[in-house]
Amino acid sequence: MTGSQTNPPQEPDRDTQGKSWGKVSGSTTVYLGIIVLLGFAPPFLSLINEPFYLDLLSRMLILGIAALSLNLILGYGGMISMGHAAYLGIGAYCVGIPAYYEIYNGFVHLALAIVLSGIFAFLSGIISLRTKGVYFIMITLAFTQMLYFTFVSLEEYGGDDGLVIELRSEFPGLFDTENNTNLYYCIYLTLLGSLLLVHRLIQAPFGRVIIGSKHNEERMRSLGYNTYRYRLVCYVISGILCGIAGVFLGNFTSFISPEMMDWTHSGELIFMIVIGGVNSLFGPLIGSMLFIFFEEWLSGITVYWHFIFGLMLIALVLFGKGGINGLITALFGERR
Amino acid sequence: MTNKESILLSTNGLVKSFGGVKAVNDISLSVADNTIHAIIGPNGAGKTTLISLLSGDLTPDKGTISFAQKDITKESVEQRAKQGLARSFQITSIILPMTLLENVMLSARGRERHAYQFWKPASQNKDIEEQAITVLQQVGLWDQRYKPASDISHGEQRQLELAMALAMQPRLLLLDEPMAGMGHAESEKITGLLGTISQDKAILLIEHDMDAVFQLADTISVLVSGSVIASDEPANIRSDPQVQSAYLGGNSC
Repeated sequence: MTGSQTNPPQEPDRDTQGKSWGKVSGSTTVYLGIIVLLGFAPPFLSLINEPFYLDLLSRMLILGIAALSLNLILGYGGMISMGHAAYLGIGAYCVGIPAYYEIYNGFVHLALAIVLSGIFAFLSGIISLRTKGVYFIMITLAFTQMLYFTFVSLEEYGGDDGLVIELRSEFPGLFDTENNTNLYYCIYLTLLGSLLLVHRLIQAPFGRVIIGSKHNEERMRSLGYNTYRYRLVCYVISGILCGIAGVFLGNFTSFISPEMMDWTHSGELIFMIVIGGVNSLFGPLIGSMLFIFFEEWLSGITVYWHFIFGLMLIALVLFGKGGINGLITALFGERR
Repeated sequence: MTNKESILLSTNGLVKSFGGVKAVNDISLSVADNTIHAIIGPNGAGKTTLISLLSGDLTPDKGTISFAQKDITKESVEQRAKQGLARSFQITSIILPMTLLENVMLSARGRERHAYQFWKPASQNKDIEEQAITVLQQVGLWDQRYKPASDISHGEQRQLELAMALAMQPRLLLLDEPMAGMGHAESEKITGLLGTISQDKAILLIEHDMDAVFQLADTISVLVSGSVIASDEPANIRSDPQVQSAYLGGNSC
């Protein structure tokens, strides 16, 4: 080939290309600041003697991981799943059922959750990823409902009423999760790992294919990418990550029930992503924190808090394009 | 015209109907290595349907397609792409939020066995980046490579569309009106580029720009209502009375 060399291959500004690791933009600084503050939360809360807020933060971070995992397929991949609560349930039952048989080893719980979430995601993904749009939403919902009613029918494990977990997952020799601060740091570190994982995934060739398939599947296929398989792999990764969040949820609540997989919880995860900002790395975490904050605050004011919350959500969707991330980006600069 | 060995793509009796309409009716044609085979014909003649059948976006009702002496009629779009069949789209089909460089790198990587690479940033693959930059220089978009594809003009998006097909380094390019929507200067540039590319690649070209078609094509087939009414060298096509009445109609536009 004889390409006409019109331009000397100099390097212009690279900032616009998103590979500038050294330079961190304003909004990323804000997010990293929040992450660092979250790391100092336990000593601060014990100083002001408000242990209840640690519970609140733990829940925020657990659902933050879940929302992050959903955003991987929903935001970056364009796969709007209405059944992600299934993985929270699977993860929680992977703590609860072994605990019922007095198996308290946390590594066993985690391994079970990873394997079973992966299998459920793989099997449901094989079928649901053949559909698009509203059909995909309905079929993911249907799979989760199947799982929900399966657990309702399992009388041995409490059926509808669920099961109390006597002891939390044990990580012998590492740390004691019965201590709330330890559990919090365990969740916190998992969150950091998950954020790093998703960040790398979407920058890597794999993530580029996922994003490309969201915007133009026909073209991606004509470039030689089997988009269905890439999506399936992404779906499984997302399910496993959410399953891990479920392990923490089970430990945190020390109680499991099919209600954890209720479709409204799948919807709440979508709310969190919309609040925080679809397509942003930190958005789902911020969204889950705000969601739980408002849930806690508004439900203290009135039992009709869902109504107020709904109005806020409508306002956000109408006027705040890009969620909180859009706002922070506008205020503190572009994150690319 | 060309000997059997150098024939890269051939179709035999391709038929595709939509409802009762035969969009493509019994088309048999071939494209040889290092040549340009142009398909011309009025709107609605079935040109894009033909390209979609060859690329695998549509499956034929009847007939077979063989590529490099292998029957690919049943193979998927991505399988065909991996074997060296690249398509450009009549309606620009690019990934709008990504930069030009990312778009072209994505297509350069499509040729690789897989992209199940989960950790190292895509932008750090120097080899792929160099391939992409070479192609962007060829089509004249190099200096805009860090712009999102949504921010360039329509004509430039057409150039990017072509660049994405080129970056796959295919054996056969299926180009669906690559010059449509480009300015005169770009058209001439791309015509020159296609001429250069065809020295070591086969091209199946659909184009309304008759200057470009007659300048570039080694063979021209005229498609009317889903059937090939003539297929010959450019000089013979130009003088064919049947073609003139059906399509060229006196003026060459």
